[in-house]
Amino acid sequence: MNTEQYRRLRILHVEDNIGDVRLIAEALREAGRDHEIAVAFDGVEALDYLHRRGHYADAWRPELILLDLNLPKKGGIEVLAEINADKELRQIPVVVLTSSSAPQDINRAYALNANRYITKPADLSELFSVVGELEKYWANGAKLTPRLGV
Amino acid sequence: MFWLRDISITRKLTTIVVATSAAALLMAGAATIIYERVTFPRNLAQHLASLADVVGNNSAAAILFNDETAAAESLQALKATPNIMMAQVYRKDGGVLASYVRVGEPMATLSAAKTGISQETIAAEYVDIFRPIFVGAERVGGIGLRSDLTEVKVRLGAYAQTWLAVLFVSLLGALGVAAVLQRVVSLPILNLAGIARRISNEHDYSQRAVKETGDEIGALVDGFNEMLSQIEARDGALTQAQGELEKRIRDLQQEVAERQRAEKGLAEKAVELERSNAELQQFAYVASHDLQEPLRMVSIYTQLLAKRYGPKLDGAALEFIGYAVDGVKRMRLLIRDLLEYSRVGTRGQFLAMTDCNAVLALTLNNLEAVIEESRARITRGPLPVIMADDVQLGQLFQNLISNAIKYRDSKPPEIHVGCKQEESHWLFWVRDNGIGIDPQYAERIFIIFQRLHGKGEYPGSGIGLAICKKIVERHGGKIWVESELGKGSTFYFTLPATAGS
Amino acid sequence: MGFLALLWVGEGSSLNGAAPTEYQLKAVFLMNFAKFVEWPTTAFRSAQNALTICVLGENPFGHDLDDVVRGQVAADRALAVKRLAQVQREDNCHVLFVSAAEKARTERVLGVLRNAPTLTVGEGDDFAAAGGMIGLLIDDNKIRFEVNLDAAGNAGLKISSKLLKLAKNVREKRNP
Repeated sequence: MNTEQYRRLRILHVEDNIGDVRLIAEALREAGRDHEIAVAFDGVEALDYLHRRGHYADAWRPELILLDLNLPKKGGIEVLAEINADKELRQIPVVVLTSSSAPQDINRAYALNANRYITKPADLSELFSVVGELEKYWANGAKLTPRLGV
Repeated sequence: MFWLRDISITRKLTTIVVATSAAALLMAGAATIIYERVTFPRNLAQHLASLADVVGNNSAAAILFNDETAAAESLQALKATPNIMMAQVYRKDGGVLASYVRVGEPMATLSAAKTGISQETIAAEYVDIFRPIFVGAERVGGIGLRSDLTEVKVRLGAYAQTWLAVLFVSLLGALGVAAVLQRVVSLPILNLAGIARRISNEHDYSQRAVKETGDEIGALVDGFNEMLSQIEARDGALTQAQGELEKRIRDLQQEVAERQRAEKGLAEKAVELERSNAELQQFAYVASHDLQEPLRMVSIYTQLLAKRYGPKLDGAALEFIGYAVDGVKRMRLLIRDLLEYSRVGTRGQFLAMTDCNAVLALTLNNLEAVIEESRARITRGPLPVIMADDVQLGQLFQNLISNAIKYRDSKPPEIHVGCKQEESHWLFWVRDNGIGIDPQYAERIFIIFQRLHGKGEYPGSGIGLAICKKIVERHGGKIWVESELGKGSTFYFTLPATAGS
Repeated sequence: MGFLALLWVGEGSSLNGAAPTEYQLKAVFLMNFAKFVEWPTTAFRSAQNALTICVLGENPFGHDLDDVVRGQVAADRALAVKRLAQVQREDNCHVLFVSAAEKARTERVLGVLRNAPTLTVGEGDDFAAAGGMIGLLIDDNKIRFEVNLDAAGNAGLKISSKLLKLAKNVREKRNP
């Protein structure tokens, strides 16, 4: 167990591929972290959760959103746009974690004020290092910086 | 006179002939009349002289016998000659023996009477004659006669009238004859004119004028016909040329239409190609992307498996996992290479003027690390500026040079990049001192995924040369290798020259 | 003969200005007659032979006849004058003048010279009737003459019609 002081994050992982969900979880466990992860499998569900709609009425507000772009029902970019449009939601940091390395996706994401854009690595060690770095940044006393821009 | 110019030649000729006849007749008539006017009085005088001689002769005795009565009687006989105005019988000394005078005329005495010499006086209104009268050789006296010129006038008048009548009739005759004979000249001309008019109206140059006469008109007809033959020939040639021209135009138009169709087809094909390209690109991207996803899963989970359960597994299991991971890695590379291969076509830029030297420099820059690591020595000749896709050209150089470095043997690689201008293209070459290639595989190596060596010996998916070939062929060139095992290789490729490069 | 002179508008002859006498005129007539008569060729011996005018007996002309005929020509022959007391055929007179004074001898002379080529010229209106060839007359104060054509014809003499025209009278067989 990591003796470093860390905060237990509430993370919302929006991802339709269960394999990738497990991977992130494993990667975090590998990093010795035990963050709380809520999963939304599609864009609609993600937004319902964020808006605490339906049976997500008493969901907790996540402190970090990991967002895949390739989602059924509603795509990641759409979700991001909605998050960005919401005064409260936009304050939650969003890290886009997707398999696409297409420049238009990258540009679009940053235009919608994503904090980070990561292409899912195919190599395990690479995955671990990315996630570790990510977790360090947000978990270790990183303030919830307000997003730039409106 | 101008009206004469423009009337028909028939009339012209007739008019000319008639006018000529009239002129001739007029001149003849005038000459005759003038001649008569001059000579007739003279004739009259002669006639008078004869008369005088006769009468004088008759009076000779009267003179000798001084018989006035008899002399007067002789003279009285002249009464019957109405033109005699006056007559006198003279004695030898010029004295008048007897006289006769026409009613109403004055008397006059001829001056010649005294001289006794024969005399003829032609005045405007009369003619005087004096003749001596002889008996034998002896002049006994004289006789004088004066005659008026009425006879002359009458005769001249008669002449004039006759002549006018003759003139009139002659002219009529001339008119008739001319009207008929002028045809000899005018008909051929009119025929010729008629034919000429017809030909010029109908544009039928096969017609010919008929040569009817052997004179200058006949010669004109010959000339005319020859001219027609020439015109006909030229017309024919012209028509033919025109026909050929039209045919050529039609052919050309057809060609143009075909080309336009072809162009349209090409434009359509280009659009189609563009669309197909875009589709393909999309497909390639999506396919590779979608293919890559499951691979990633496989790859990463086998890795996770190895990591998590590695200690619990035996060597064989780890080996198996290793093969699986390896397979996936290869798969990813293959997909990546395939994507790259397809992109040669789908991501090809329009060709632009490209400085090959700059592209090579950039490539060598990209390969700096590997060049340094292999201690490769690369030399180069001056390269031209040609129409090319600079990105792909860079890929081409990169593949060939990295191959040259990769397939080295013990010695450090010595690589030369050169080129030479040939008729319609530039010949480039990349020469190395590496391991060389067995000539029997010289063509195989350009086939996609064909490798001559195991992965363990030399890395690579075997797509590099296939990509090079595709790039070169996309530029319209050819690529081949000349090599011998152990003696290095020279990869040649041609790229089309641009005018002025 | 003064009255004759009035009617004569003189012609140039040997007469010098004075009015001509009767016999001067008759002399001229005589000469002129010769000009209008044609003798047969036998009457002349040669071409040069002169034409002889004979005056029988009494010569009323004096020298006048000679003067008149001098230098004159009749029928291309010179004229000559002969005076004869008697006349024979052999005298070869071409013209014989018988004056009025010799009237008595007229018949005998004409008989002698019958058909001879001699132009017999006489005076009086009976001379021609008697057989003389030309008879001189005075008619109306003018000298006229009468011609006996038959007598001349019998003698072989041709008298020009020009002369005949001037004659007062011409005796011919057919003339009554």
